[in-house]
Amino acid sequence: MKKTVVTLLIGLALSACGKVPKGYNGKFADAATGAKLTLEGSQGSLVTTDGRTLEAKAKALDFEALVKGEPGIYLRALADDEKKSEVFWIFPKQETRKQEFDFVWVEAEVLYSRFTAEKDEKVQQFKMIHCTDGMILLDLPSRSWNGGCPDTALEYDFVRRE
Amino acid sequence: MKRKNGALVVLISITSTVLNPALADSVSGTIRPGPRPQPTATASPSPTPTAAPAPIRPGPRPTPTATATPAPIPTTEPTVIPTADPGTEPVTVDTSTATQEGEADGREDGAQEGRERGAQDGLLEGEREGRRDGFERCAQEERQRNYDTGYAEGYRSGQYDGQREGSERGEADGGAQGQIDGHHDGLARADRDADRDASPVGRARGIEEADRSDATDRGTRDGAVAGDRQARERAIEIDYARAREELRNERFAEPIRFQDEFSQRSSKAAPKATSLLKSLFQLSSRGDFTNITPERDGGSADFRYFNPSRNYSTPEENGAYLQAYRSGYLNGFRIEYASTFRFTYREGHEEGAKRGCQDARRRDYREHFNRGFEVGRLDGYRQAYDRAYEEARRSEYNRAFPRASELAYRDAYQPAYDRHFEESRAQGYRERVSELYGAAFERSRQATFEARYPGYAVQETERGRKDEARDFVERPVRLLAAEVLETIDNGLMEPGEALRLRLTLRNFANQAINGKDLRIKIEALDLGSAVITEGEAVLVRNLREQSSTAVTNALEFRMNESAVRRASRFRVTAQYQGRGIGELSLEVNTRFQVEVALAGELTVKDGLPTTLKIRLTNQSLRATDAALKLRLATDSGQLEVPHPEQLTGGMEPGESREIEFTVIGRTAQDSIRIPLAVSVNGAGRRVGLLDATDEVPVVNDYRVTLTGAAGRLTEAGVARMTYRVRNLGSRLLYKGLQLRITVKNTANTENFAVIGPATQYLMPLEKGEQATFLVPVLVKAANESCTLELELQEDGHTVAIHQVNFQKTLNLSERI
Repeated sequence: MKKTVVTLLIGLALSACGKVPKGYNGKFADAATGAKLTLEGSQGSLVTTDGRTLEAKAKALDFEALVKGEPGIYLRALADDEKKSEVFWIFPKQETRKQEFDFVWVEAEVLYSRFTAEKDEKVQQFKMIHCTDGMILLDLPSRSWNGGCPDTALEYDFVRRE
Repeated sequence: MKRKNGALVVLISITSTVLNPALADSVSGTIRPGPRPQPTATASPSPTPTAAPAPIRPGPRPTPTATATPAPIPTTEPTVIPTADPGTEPVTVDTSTATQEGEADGREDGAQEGRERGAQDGLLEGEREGRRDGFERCAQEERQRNYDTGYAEGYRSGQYDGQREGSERGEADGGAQGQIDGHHDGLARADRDADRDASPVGRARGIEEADRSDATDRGTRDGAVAGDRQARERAIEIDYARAREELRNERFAEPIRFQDEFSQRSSKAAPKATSLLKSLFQLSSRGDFTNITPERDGGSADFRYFNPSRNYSTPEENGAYLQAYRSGYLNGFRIEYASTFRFTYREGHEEGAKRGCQDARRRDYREHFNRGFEVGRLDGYRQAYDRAYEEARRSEYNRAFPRASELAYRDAYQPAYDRHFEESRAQGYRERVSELYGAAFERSRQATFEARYPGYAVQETERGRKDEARDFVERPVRLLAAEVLETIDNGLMEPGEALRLRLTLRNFANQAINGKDLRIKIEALDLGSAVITEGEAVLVRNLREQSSTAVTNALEFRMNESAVRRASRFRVTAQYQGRGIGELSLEVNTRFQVEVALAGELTVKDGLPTTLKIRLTNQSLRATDAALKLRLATDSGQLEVPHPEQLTGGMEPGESREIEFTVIGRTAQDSIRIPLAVSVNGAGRRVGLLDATDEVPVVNDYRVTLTGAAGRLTEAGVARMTYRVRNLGSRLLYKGLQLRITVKNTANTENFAVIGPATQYLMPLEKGEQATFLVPVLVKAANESCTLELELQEDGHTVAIHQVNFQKTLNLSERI
């Protein structure tokens, strides 16, 4: 199994200090694809269905870093529900970065999920989508950005193993 | 010791003795152990002269003050005489005799003091308390006695006044009421008696007068006139009408010599139905004496008789004697004091009570008497007044009533008699006259009718036949029937279809009737239901003699589309030489050949196509044209119809089919009210129409809204479009969204370039959530107009299409 250890400043932190909430610590697996996810404090690693291993550390990501195409994490609380947050890590492909008229877009490997903030009790199951051909778009004047995956993204249904 | 004033004498002597120790020594002649203590004076009040006793106010029972405890007599401790030989044991001395003797001596002396003091104190206190108790008791008795006395006197006084005043008032009231009631009674009796006496007489007079009147003659005359009129009217109503009908029937029963038929349009083909010149849309045109002898113990002895007189050889015995004497003294004092106190207290209390009572009885109790007097007066007054009033009232009433009644009767009888007489006379007259007149009238009427009617009947029969015959001469032709014929033979009266009449005319004459003398006419009775293309005409051919002729293709009219599904009324008339020869009513139900209706509920999606289903049904008896063309028209501002026209094949009679139209909503609202018109044309005319206005819901899983635009797509530069997308109905989880942006409806699409990737991605939105995103567009050169279209996909399916129109001279208009 090909193992690509990618030191990514990624993680699934849900707090400003970049730690995985206790409720999400543990080992999870997706039965359909065989992907395995391990979360521990500020560490995370994902073994993908094609055998790649993505290891990550939690680190806050800022807009400037995204503009530069640096990989990182981003946490965004939902406007209508402060207890929930969008969590995704982004691994931009620097060679695809383009910028025109203060608008930047770059292809990226994208993982996306939603966590409940500060959840202490053990979470047994949660979903995540994953694509290697996602896209991130940033508007420099308004400092806003968006991103996502095409309809071919994988959908993981992670169930706790430990 | 005297009892009454003895206590005072004793007190004085004791006091003197105590204050003069020398005198005490000379009395007793004994050796005293020490200076005698000075007893303190008791707290009794000083006696006051009895001539004017001070009022003793009842109060709480005073507690007798105890005699002040004198200072204790110092005792001499027996000294112990040491023996010459300190080395020997002390000797035990028997002190029992000394003790006994000391006890006895002390008791006797103490008892004496107890007797003296007990007597004094008992008498004093008994008298004081007895006086107070006696005063209270007697004062209460006096108060009650005075009150009772006052009450009795007041009651008598009140009775007297009540009796007097009650009688006066009762007399006045009884007299007045008796007067009034008696007067009314007299009037009523007078009226009743007068009526009884006068009415029969008056009535008889009235009847007599009526018998002498001309009621019978008048009734006979009037009856004859009425009988004659009724006979004539009856003859007209029955015989004349019957004669005419019989003649008419005879004429109609005559054999028809010729049965003819001709067409008013014999050389013309059935006209082609033309389309109505109407607009396609028909925009349609809601939360207490206690124990008299209290127990006393006298407090402490003052040892006035303390005198231990014995002397013994040993100090032990002396000591024992003294100690026992003291103890015996106190015991003797206590016992005798209590006993003596009780006895003298009783005597003193009795005496004191007498004096207290005397004091109480000497006081003034007028206030109580007055209070009793007032209460008694009120009670006596009330009791006497009511009885006296009622007696006086009844008596005076009984006296005044009959007198007043008699007076009133006397004055009222005659006028009442006259009035009743006149009333009954008039009534008797009226009734009798009516009876006489009515009987005479009816006899005369009946007789006249029976006599005259046969003649009138013959006369009117003749006249009726003559008139009917003349009528047939004047109107030899009659319109018998009319029916509507369609020109498109399919069993329906369609709007726009030329409709004509088939009339049946009968010529009763023995000669032909010139067609030009016959005019036929049709009128629509319901406004706007039809267009009369030929409302009036003369016959194109003559009618042969004694013929029945069917005239076809007569006149012409076309039903309007507004008359579809309603019954429309018409009136058909015919005239011969200006005289009406018939009037008939027709009813026409108009229907399209093809019924058009919506099939199912219509829903619309903003920016996305949905299907509008139309059901067609051929409700005629003929197949439709081989090709039917449908056209859907609506408000294009809210609902886009990409292909408003469709073709379908012909339909057999009774056949139904559904036709689908694709429609795309173009609105930001949640529902739209849109007019829908579906017309079906075939064979060159409209054969079906649906005209409706519906409230249609707009249902989208996602809605996209333009929330901001920096720049314009009609001007060169970069325009940044900010959108908001909301998930309204999609329940798919973790499905990302994809955006495709294109520019359309422009002369040169190369003039525009969407900055960024051709497809943008958005993170998943759960139901109810929304997100904003930005779309920058590079406009290379100014232009007149264009449309920016955004297609939103979820999981590969299009879920919304948003369009923004830009025009150079107008403001931004959004079309979603």
